[in-house]
Amino acid sequence: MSSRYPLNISASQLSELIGDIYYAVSSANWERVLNNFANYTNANKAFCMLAKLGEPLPALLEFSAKKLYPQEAYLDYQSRPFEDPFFDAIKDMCEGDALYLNDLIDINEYVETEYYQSIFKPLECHYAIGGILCRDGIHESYFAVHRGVDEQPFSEKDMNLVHLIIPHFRNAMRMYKELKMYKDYVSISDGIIEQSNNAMLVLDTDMNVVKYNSVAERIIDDSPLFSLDSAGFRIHHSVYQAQFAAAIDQCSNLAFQHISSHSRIVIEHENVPLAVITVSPIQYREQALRCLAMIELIQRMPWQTIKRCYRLTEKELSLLEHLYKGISLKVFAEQNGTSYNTQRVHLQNVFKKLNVCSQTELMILLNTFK
Amino acid sequence: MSIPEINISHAEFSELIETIYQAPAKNDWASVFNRIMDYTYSNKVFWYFTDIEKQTVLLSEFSMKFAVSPDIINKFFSRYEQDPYYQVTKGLVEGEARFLNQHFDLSRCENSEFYQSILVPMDSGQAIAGVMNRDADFEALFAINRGFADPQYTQQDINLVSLLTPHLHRSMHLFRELELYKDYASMNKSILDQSQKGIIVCDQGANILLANRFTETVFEEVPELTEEGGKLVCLNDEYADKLNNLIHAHAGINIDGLTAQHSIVLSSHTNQDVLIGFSPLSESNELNTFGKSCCVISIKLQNAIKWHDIQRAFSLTDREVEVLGQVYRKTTLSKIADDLGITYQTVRNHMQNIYSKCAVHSQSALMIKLSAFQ
Repeated sequence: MSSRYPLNISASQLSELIGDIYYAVSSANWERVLNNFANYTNANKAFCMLAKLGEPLPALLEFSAKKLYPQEAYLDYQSRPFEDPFFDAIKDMCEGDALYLNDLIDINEYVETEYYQSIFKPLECHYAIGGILCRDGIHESYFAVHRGVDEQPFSEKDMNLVHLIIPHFRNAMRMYKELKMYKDYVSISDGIIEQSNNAMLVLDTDMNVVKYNSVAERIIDDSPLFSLDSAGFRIHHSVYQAQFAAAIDQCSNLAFQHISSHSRIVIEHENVPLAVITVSPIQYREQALRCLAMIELIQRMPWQTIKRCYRLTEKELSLLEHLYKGISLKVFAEQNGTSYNTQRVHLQNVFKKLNVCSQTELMILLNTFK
Repeated sequence: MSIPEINISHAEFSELIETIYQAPAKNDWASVFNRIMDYTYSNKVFWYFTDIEKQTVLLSEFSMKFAVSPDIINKFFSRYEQDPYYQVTKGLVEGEARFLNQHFDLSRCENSEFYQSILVPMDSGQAIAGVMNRDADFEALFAINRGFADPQYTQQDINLVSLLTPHLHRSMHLFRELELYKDYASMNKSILDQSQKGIIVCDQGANILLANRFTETVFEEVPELTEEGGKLVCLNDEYADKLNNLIHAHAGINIDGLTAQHSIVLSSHTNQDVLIGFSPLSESNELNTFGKSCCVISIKLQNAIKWHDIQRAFSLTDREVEVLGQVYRKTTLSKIADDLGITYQTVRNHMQNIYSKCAVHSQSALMIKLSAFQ
């Protein structure tokens, strides 16, 4: 043991304290860290905070005190932390600095102030060591330990411990911030994906299902076309299953050439489309890849409802159905053995009834019924 | 004075632990293990990481104080599973380190071929090994050695390695957790970026917490909507208050399963009808760690046509798509000619090409075709 850094604690205690600091990155159990820290420095309390500048509430504010201090004093402190004379002392410190704040200011000069009497006295903050864990212009994080006026001042050994601990505290706070950022992003984006009206299924390139949202689950459960179980996602019709596998394969090949592509598979039964699956690549890691499959069941056009709504005749409805399929007026007239002009008149009537002026508007209107 | 627990200073110890927590991100394990080797007066250190599922060795490295023929090292790597020391490490759990010679009698192996052809030339008379990670996916071990003739490892050496191993374990664990969330976040981001709707998540004060890629297109096409100082703002007075109130209201609803949705239509002066939907972000998912209540705003451009799909479907040139876009916005051909700085005849030629590529004979047929791409 070097005599340059005499400490009050053993190597295993130090090791455990440092371990707890890093452990708090994922567990967020900062209270345990502060408890031990206050114990080893014989402080009456320890506190740390992390805040994003400009946000009204700190992302982290943790106190650990040896005894119960009056709640009003805590609240009073929280409402005006910037009047704290110690805060003034740490204003110019850099990230990673830790100082015995009583070396910077003579706290005895403040004893008569209202701030000291209503906050420092009840909270017993006469002596303080403070350190800056993060100060990068975006985030601000610091910690402090306190002793009261009736206690001994902090010693050099206490300061030594703080100096040993602060690089770890600072690294851990940086990791905590980063992890929290990703966790928050995951949490918010998962919420959006879950709430989406689209059925989404994420597969890796070996066709294993990585995730799916509840809409996808519902569609797959309800539809006889698909299944999803421990064997993975399947389209029951083997031709479409093969197309799907090919689409996944293709999208993984194309994505590496930075070609954004998506393939559509239309599942039909007796020429009536039942569902459309869109497969597109999503970037997952630098070199790895996943595929997003979106499933859409084709809603049948409610022709009878449209007929009723707009009081269409059988003939008008038939014309409308054919136009919607992309058959032109002329071809329809020929198929029907009627004249083009007759069909034009029918169409004019349809326009009037549906209150539209062009075939484009007509199609747009029809699409709203899907 | 009593015998210290470890034979390095607290400062050196603390600094070494710091290096351990930085190692995975910097991918620099050598500086950690070289120091452990030095502090324990070992003749070499060996570490190796294996992917259990794929049965591949991810990393296996040596650092040693003396030279050994590469043949012997290769032999060791190809047969390390026969190593009697390795057999003992199988009983260790994550974060545990042991002086292996205390757990079996190495002299019993003296006659084995492995002992004679590998352990002797490598001078691996003593070993302390630690398990950094051991789960279904991933195994990471390290070991330090002293020679047959060296003094035995002291309790302090063993203490040091035993104190450091939990940190090695935690450091890897933290790194893997961070990577996991990073990957998951990037996967979710690219799902949201595929959407043809603008998706924005705001807190009660309209501060943007997340916005997908299409949001940029929305801001370009709808000048009334923009971002200012991290907030979503509407520059049209008629809608500004409404927007803020709806965001505030929907970010406040925080009850599970309650889906209060609301939509408004904003008529942009660029002739776009913009459908803006508001809904609270449900907090029902298990991963939710985010304490704030937020509002999801989805912005759909009603007249938005998927020009990219059209271009591909009909093999149109960039210029043809441009002309088509203008025609769709009901611009006259002569105006298009002016805007693009080309002659009226050229525009007409473009249109003829578009007609033939799209296999249509009239503008109205063309529009119907386009509307299918909404």
